Amino acid sequence: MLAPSFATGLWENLSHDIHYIWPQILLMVSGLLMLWPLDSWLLPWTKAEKHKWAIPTMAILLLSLAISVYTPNGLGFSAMYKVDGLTKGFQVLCILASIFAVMLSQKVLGALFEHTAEYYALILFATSGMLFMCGAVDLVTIYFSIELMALCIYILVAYLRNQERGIEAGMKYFLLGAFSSGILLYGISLLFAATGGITTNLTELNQKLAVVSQDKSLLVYSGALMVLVGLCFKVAAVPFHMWSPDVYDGAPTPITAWLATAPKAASLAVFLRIFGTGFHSISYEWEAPLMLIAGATMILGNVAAIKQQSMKRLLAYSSIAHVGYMLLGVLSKDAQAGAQAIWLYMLLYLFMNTGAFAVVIYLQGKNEGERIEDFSGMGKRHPVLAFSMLVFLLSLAGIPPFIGFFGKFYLFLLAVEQGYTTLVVIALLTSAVSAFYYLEVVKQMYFKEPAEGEVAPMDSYSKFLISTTCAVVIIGTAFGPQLLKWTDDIRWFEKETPAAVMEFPNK
Amino acid sequence: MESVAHSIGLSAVMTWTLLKVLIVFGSVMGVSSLWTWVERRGSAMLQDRIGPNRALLFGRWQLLGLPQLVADGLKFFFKEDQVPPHVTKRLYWIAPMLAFVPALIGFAVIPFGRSFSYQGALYHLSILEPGNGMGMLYPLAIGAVAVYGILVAAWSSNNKWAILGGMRASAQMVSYEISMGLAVLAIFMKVGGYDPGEIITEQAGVLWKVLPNWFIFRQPLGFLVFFVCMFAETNRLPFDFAEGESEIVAGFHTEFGSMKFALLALAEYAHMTTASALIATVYFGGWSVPFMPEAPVLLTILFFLIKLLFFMWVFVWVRWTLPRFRYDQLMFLGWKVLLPISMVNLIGNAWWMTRGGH
Amino acid sequence: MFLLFALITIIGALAMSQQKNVIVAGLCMVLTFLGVAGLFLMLSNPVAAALQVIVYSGAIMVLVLFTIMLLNSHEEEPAIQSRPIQRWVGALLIAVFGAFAFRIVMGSKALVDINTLADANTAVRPMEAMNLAKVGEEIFRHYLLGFEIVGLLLLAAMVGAVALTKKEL
Repeated sequence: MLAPSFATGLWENLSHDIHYIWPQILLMVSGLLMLWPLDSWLLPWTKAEKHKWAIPTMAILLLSLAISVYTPNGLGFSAMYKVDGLTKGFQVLCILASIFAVMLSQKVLGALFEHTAEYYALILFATSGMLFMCGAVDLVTIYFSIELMALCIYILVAYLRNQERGIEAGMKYFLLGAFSSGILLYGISLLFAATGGITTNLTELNQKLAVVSQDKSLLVYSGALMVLVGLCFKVAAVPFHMWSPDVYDGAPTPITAWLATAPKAASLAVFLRIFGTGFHSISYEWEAPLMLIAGATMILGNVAAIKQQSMKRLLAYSSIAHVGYMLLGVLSKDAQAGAQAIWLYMLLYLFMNTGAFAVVIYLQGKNEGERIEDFSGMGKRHPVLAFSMLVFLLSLAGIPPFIGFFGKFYLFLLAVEQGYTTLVVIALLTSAVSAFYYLEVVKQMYFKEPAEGEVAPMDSYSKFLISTTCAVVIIGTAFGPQLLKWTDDIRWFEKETPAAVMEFPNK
Repeated sequence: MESVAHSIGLSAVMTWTLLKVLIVFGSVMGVSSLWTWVERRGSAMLQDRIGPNRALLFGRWQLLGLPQLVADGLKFFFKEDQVPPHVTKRLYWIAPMLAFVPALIGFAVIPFGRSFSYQGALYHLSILEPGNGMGMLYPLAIGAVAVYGILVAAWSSNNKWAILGGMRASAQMVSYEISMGLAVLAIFMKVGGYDPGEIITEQAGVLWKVLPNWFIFRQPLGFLVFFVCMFAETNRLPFDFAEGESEIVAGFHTEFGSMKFALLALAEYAHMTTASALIATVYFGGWSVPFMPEAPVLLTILFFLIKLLFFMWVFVWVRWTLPRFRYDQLMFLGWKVLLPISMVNLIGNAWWMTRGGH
Repeated sequence: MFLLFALITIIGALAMSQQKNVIVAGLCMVLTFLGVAGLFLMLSNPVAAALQVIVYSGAIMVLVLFTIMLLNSHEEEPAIQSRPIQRWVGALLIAVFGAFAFRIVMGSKALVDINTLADANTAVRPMEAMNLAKVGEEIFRHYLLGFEIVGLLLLAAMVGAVALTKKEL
């Protein structure tokens, strides 16, 4: 007979550490409530429209954003989950990206009559998976939370199930994603075996890997490589990027915008966690492959983007390239500085990317915007829109006065300090290449005659959204240097002692 | 025991295991084939007719139609083994074995009598020793594999009726396995273990001074679910959708003849035997004799047999009493009735246990 | 014993990938699962073995086969001939990888231990056998967070399956 103390012990275990995961719990529970009692009972009762879920979803996300910022630092759930600067910083990014996704969704879903509680619930579930990813410090938790995020995304990608392209994208993503998860899991199990089958905790793993015996080095090497491959798939680094353009193309556009930011932010947090703490002692094993991957990602992402005709595909390749830059930060031996640089870059990228996609979505509502030619003459048709797009694109290219420059500058500076000069040279050259295809779009907008068609007035919602992000990108420019200084204050990696010393700076 | 073991050149442990294997599998096969006769006589009894009585032993003794069994067996053996031209050959050959072997070995973990010590050594009356770590998971696992016999048989026949039968069987088994597992989980929780031996010892004693301390009285809801699921898992009426003469002829074994058919049919009865043994073990105290904590070994075996045969009779009884379900009704019952009931049972029990009850 | 189960697993997997007939491929996969279950038994983890059989071969593969039968694709689709170079490079890589894996596995101390113990038929096991109670405690004490995440994951999968397939949401 099992003692009832097991149940009480379980309860104590839960309630002891539960304050670390309040944001996730909020997201999960509200997602659940949305799915069942509210959607089927409350909604018909109040006779509200289905798309009314957008506002509660945003409210919930904002609330969880606030909670995640004020979560106390510490280590919980038998060293499975840690809250520190890295966790909070990337959680903020993920939640912000999700909020943007919900905002962007309104037009698209409204046009397609696909407003359902499931859509928002899945976004909430995926976001909670990402939040778990940001804080997971154990390979088991990392794997499960990656899966939670990925599964929701597979579904959201195929969400427009009446369109063949969407289904194809979802299917491709699902199959390749499952395959890469298998590789990741295999790598984890090899490492687990190599360290004696005792621990999956990253800190302990780090200590164990440092003293692993010579005959196991092959296991360690292949294990680390497989983990690297599995994670590279998640951030779509070359050569594991093949899924990315197709998926971006086929997914509903708001989901594409989300896909380019939120999962990448979470995956990069995992990258930093694993390679910054877990595999720190075996950096010689993964450094060279990761360098190759980063270099290849930058080159291929940018070069392939030149030839693209579809705007969504262009942005997909550009997001691949941006991941390549961010991998430079992972390579940094100073994990603190690396995390800082990546976080900054990701934050800026989030705004630029969302803005660019908002423009695409707006045009899509007018049955254009898919192809780059659709942008021709936009400077005359929609001056505000064209100007915003110009700002976003130049910022994405990293041209100095705009905000994207600071992210890149800081990242490259760090890489030079760490001695990755060759990679930085590649990065700079490919940045120049990227300026070429971004400017190509600009050229289309301002120097090409507009296609036949009447000028549709912008509705207030899109106007607000686009101009706000545009304003952030422009005004942010002024604060670029301050941003650098401000992120300096965040202590990204707490030591193992759960005592919270450093508070996350409040906004 | 030692001397016998020595004379055939095996260790004592091996000999004992071999003996148990022979006894158990022999009796399962024996009981299964016997039950084909019981089924026919029983149905005749329930339907107020005579049943098989024409086969005579040496042309003289009728023996309640028992010689029919021998006659059937001989007929199956000597019948021409016809293979229809359109079947997938290899699978068609394997299918009956795939059906029969799991049905047979599912019994291995069930203790059929009290453990006893003889000359200082402890002997357990089950093929797999208790504490093997598989416990009650083993029959569940074997039951899960058993569906492949039907599936393979159905598919290899290349026959629409057969495939329909196979599909139904697989859907049905998967659906009911969940409820069954949840029902058994509640038992695991109460016992704090999952070895059949532990489950039986937990049921020793007296409940409310008049009843044996069996789980049927302590978990009637769980029993109901488990009992119904057992019918579904054995593909017996009222859930025999793999066959169903009125709509899909003989279902998955339409294309099978002679000994292959005999194996498929016997597999069903072997399943029945195992299922009865499971019901008896989990909910009716297995070999334990009510109100007799220190019953002699032979008596415990006898009691186990009585319980086993009773439930096998229940299988026959139900078959000839209840009408068949419809396929959608079956799915409704499995997913929307039994699954919630078993969940309520599980969670209610858990709650009760945290309150200190048992 | 280890080699036997390992061979069953590998042969099942190879046969599955080579098989053109979908149902037979599925059955080969079942064989693989049974081999893996056997490997779990060798690792003195009968619980994992039983669950492997119950969940994978008993439920998942049955559903897969059910779906295949429902689609009723008796006709074997002609495979698109892949480029021979790809095939050879793939085979070569597999061979190299397999050779390394084989060396590691055969050289590992645990395998030697397992074999000697199994041959000697002693009661001593290399590890204490896992049982259900221990699995439960591990899940609910140590891996609680992972367990909860998996619960949410399954729910999300269910919601997604419904959302993608139901005609009217």
